[in-house]
Amino acid sequence: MALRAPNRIRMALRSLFRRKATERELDDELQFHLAEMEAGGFTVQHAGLDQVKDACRDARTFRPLEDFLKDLRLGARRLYKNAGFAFTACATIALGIGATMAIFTLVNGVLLRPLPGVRAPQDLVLFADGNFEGRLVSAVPDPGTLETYSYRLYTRLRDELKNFDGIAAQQSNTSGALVQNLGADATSADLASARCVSANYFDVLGVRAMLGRTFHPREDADAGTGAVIVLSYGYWQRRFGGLPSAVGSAIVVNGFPYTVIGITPEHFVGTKVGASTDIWVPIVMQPQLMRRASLLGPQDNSWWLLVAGRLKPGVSLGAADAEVNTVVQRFIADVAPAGSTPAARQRVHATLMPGARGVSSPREQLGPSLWLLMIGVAVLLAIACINVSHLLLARGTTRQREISLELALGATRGRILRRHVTEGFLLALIGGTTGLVLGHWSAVGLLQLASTGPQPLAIDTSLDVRLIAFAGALIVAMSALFGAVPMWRAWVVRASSSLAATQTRAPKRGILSPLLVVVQVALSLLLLVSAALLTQTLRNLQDVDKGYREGNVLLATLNARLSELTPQQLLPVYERILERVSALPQVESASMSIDTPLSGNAMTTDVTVPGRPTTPGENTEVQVVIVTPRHFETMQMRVLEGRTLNENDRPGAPHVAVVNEAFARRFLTSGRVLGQMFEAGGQSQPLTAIGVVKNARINDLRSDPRPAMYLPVAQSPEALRSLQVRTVGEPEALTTAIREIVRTSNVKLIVQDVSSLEQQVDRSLVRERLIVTLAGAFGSFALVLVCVGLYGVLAQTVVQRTAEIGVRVALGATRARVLWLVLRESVLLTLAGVALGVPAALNAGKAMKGLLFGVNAVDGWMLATATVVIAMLALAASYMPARRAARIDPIDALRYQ
Amino acid sequence: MGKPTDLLQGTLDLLILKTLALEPMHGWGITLRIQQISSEVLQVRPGALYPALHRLEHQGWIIAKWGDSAAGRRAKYYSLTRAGRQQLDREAMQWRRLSSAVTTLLDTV
Repeated sequence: MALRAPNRIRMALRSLFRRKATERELDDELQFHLAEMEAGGFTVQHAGLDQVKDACRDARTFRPLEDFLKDLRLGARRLYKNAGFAFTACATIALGIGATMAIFTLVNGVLLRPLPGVRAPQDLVLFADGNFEGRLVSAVPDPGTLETYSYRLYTRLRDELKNFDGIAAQQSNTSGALVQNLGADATSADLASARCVSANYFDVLGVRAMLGRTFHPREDADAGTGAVIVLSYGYWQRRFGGLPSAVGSAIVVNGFPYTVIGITPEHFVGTKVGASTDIWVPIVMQPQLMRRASLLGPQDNSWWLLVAGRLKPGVSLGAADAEVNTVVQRFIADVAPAGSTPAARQRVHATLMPGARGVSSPREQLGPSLWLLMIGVAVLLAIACINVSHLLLARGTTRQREISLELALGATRGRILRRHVTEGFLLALIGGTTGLVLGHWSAVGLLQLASTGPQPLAIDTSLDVRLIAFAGALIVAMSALFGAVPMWRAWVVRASSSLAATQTRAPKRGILSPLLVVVQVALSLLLLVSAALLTQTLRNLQDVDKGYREGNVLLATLNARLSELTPQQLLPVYERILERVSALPQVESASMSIDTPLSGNAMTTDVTVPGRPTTPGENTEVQVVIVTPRHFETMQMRVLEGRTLNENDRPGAPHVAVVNEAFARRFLTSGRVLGQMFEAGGQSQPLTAIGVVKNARINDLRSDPRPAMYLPVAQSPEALRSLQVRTVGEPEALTTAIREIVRTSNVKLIVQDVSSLEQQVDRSLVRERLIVTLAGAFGSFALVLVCVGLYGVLAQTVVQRTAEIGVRVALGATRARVLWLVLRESVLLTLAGVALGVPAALNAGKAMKGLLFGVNAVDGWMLATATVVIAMLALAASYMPARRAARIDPIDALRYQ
Repeated sequence: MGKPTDLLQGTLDLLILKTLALEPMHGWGITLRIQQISSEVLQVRPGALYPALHRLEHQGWIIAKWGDSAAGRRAKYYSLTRAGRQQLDREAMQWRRLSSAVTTLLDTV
């Protein structure tokens, strides 16, 4: 009947949507028939007309679909009438599915997803795990697995391997690239990350440009002609505003002009997941991009490329591996210098690995934590489902009576089950779709929270088949569960037994439900206390005495790469810039230092003090901070003894240093710090300590400050990367002015990044903030579950003991007694949960010690507060069932006895 | 008139298709025609006829259209489609084979 199907469906749909009209037609048709029968003198039976209509409907319609829609309508009406229950159930489901989907989205993006934007990733093969970033120089690499390849070896592989459809190479790390518009000055420059790739890179990976084109093989041919560039989607959006006119425009990268020829697809990141590349440059342009000698020459011994290839169809990984190693060995034999032994040479080998998911440092860093989170969230989801099931069961014996009635009237069990499953499906659908949306937003939000710097982690969170299938599976599973749960009891009810008798046999509730509530209470306590500890940690870190004042300080990162001046030549430039900046109206003071505060970058050296012997194994490392004289004033760092640096500390004068407390305490005799001299590595003269400054947390907020010395830049010339400006009002307001000042200093100094010291402090606390958010979210979720779970269990008790309560009331029990009957159970469960939860919370606190800062793992106040919170929530959750119990009318209760 | 014989569903379909092969008709007309031609042997109840008609329409072998009856009342007329005509031929052939087989069986014993 293949031909009939479209027809049938069309007619079925028509009968669905034009139901009224169709019904009327059927009625008219039958009335006509009856009228004609009467006219013809036959006896007419009007009875049985409905059955005829039914039979016609059956013949015509797509019954299961109609039934389904009817059940949906019925279910929706039911939910609407029980709005409280519906809301609670849907909210619980939404939270459960939301949390699960959020974590699964991250798991998918980091761990499961194949390389985005690439054709047939399962055919790709990587020639190393890609963890090595950088360059090795040697004739023959060390024994072991090849991490990177040299250009010579790459070309050999490319030309000689037969098992591959193409071999591509990419630079193993990215190069910093200063990008400017052609003909424009340095103001429009920004810093991007660029990567050299072989001209066939995009072809081998099967990446088609979203706009424009990718490299031709010809672009590899000879150096100097290959001045084209491909942009990543993200960089195109950021710098070119996503305008199509970017393709074909000319830009200058590290001083060399290129034409933009194409944009890669949105989610494409290359074979390294989590490492973002802004600009793809043909490998022939390597000398120009890196501004150094060519690494492509026939005599070059640099190993700096990551290699990937596409297998020919039908070739196994093992065969390809063998062939690659043959070529590698031949190459090594050819180039090995005279002295190397064959044994050593043979221990060098290539290891091929499947490239479907690329290499990923996020995978390694985040992988285990993600799986842990996934398990945690799955547990919460399971608890949520069970709680909702209890809610369903707690809706009382009306359900059972209804089902018994239906069975008695001839409905099949299957039909009733279908109806309940449809209702469960409605719940799961509403809760599930809300949860999906929630989950997606949460995942994106979490990623943003977890990212340091302006670019979010390059993890793909877009919907794909796996996510949708997972969500769909969850919803279906829940529908089945919620449909079966009310039926479960009725399943054992035989239709033949009298309806009245079924009521007394309300089955025992069992130990499982109360136990689950106890576990939930314990879990909530644990999570609450942990969240409180972590929140306090975060607050302590934010409030810790940093040794400087972070408010109202503008930070600018300066890049002198393009300026081609020596540090000596940069000194007067810095002085001029600082003069002009200080002259701006809103500026209190300005200074520069070698590294941005809280960037984690630190220069170190070793110190020796004459007359103070070093004990063996002693750590004589100190941090070196090269600054302009007004640094302490700008950062508001307190000088405890002596003086700060000033303009007199010039090359001709004695070399001086301001040390911090830790330095003074460790290396200098107390009481006579000022004037003491010491030697430091990298310094041509001995240094005199002329001042002691308070310890400052300039590297990170957690660690105690280590010994540090501050040197004047005039005596230790270096390119200073950080400009600090203390302002009267909002620091960001001066951004344009400062950029202008740097630009007009005419030395191609690039302002790379402008933010404030406060933002920098925030950025250094990213991990803590992330953990606090997660702990808080999980904690709140657990609390909601406790409420729902407790309510469900208590409601079931009330239902179960309705008759008993009725008798008690009839025998004179007061409302108070009945209330206490219910509340007693609530109190017991809560107490048991707290008893379980307190030791768990204490243990968790101890386990978390590494994460905490300034809080004791055992904090009585927090435990007490958390317990009180849970107790109050438990009380709130008990309110409704208790009230319902107290209002039981003995007559009603006993009527259904 | 003896008790009206109940018709099997498949057979009823065949008769309806055959009746409509001649000209479009409404349900009552089909009932009358079948009754007449079979000399009152076959009497189709509306309870059997209308579900059959709707089913045949659902399967695309007949098509319905509202029109005016001889007496001027609105009635739903069914007519045979081309696919229905082919189906009629198929079923008729099948019926003949079946009935001749049964007849042969009855006669030989």
